[in-house]
Amino acid sequence: MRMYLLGAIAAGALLAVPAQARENRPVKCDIGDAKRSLSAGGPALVANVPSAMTPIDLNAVQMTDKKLANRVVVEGMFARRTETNSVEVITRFVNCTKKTVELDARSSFMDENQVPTEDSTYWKKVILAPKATGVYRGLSIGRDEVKYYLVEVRTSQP
Amino acid sequence: MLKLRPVAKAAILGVGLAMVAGPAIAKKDRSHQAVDLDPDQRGVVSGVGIEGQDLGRMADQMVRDLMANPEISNRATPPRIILDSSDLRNQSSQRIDKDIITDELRGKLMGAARGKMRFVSREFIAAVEQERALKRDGVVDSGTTGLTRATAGADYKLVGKITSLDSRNNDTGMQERLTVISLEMLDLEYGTLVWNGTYKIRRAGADDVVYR
Repeated sequence: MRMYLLGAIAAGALLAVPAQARENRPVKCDIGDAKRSLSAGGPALVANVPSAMTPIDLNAVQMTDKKLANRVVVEGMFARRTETNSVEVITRFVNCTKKTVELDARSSFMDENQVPTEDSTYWKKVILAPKATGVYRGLSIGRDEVKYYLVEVRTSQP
Repeated sequence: MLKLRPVAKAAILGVGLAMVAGPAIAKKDRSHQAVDLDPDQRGVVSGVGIEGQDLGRMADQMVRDLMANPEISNRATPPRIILDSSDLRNQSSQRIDKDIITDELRGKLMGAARGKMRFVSREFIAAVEQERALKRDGVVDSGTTGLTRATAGADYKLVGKITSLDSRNNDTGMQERLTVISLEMLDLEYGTLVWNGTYKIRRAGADDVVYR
């Protein structure tokens, strides 16, 4: 009987997990944490003279202006192969402000030697409602040869 | 004291003024000179319709989408595609040369496909037929690629529509337009649509721009 009771409590706890989600509170961000985070140490674009610029991490999102970096957080970055073996990158942003944020994003694709396999995609506008998420998708033309990608983000331009 | 007639005085005054104002006039003239612009950026004259910067962006999006479609770009035998503006209907309120859309798309797609698709020209088929007739009549030789029984039949054709939704505030002069370019790949044997790509432009502005 006791075992059944424990089982029932455990099952109840599992079912209760979704109810513990933060549903009625707007998202809060700590932009400083995102800014201070260290590089994962993976592949990166490095200048001929390495100290000439900070490395640009590959398979990651690169913000190109501070204004945007103070307002938007990258929540998730995904990459997958399509049926034709091209690469689709998906990035989900969170608008940390109480105003609508418009950003432009583009992706670049590279082979194993970091040589561009094609031109970068055109800048694509993503509109983020206040305190809400928004998704950017980029598709490569290159297929098997694509090994690295980079998503660049800037404040939207007219 | 040198005495000058009024006409001469006016002439001297005019030359003097011209010398002083010369650089200013020249500067003003330079402001009217043509300037080179990035075709992928918004131009100096812009309105609410389809513009130069949209063409490359739209074609890039469509090409990447088409290249990820296995039915079209992953076949053992490359499909033959007709990509011209003959079945692209402009139902929008903007006057536009439809060829500029299909030419941009075909150019980018040919560059990206690299043999994974074949493009059949029907726009210039008269030139092909004329040359074939000359070869078969013995007026010219057979060239270097040999003769074929017939010209290429196509598997797919790009079809589509340009539509728009316009609104205007007569008090402020502000106008807004949603333009939708919807392209589809039509199977020319079976009649099914194997791909669809949609590009939307929504713009508002008060500038009185004429597209022609």
